Amino acid sequence: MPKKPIEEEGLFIRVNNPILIRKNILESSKLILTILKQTYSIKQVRELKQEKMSELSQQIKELRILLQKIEELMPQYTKADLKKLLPDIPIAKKAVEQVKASRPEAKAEMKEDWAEELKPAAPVSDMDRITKALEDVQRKLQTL
Amino acid sequence: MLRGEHMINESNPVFVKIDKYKDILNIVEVVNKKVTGVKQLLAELEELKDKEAEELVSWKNNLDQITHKLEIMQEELTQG
Repeated sequence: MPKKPIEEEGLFIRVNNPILIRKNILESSKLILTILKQTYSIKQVRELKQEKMSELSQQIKELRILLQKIEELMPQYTKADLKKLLPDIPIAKKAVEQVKASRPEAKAEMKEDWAEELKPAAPVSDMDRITKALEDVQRKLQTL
Repeated sequence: MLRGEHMINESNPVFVKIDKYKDILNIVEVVNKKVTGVKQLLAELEELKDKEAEELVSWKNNLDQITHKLEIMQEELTQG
């Protein structure tokens, strides 16, 4: 019987511990599948993060608008301006009464913030008034 | 009236119309709520970031294990 060439017969290598190799292959497959699962999980987490980031960005934008609105509403008239606009009304007392009635918790804040302003004004000289008026004009000129 | 239209020295006290004052208080309340919401969102984001980091660490560990198993297999196959 003629001998077959080596290529046709094929090569055989002895594997001493096939169970160990089989076990390792299966465990590696299991780990690969776990990694695949984790990939999807990470993807989901990132999508969720993206959503939260968009939401956060939206909230920050809204906050900015609200703070801008407060800035627009806030400083309006100085005491001198109010006196010019409403000469007959005791502004300070009226304001305090209205605030007290509308928001009792504002009382404490009002005490801190406006306490000094609500005291009866000390009599001022003509010179002081003119100086103040001049300052007002200068301030307005600076804004132009 | 806009702030820019009526420039006031910031150190001086100012008077705000009572209706606008109420508006301001309402807005401040809304701002407070929104800030609380933003804090909550940030906490959630931090939680997600930690979760992602944990997943990545686990991912790396699994890859290390695979590498180790492949090395064992390679060794076993080359011994024969």
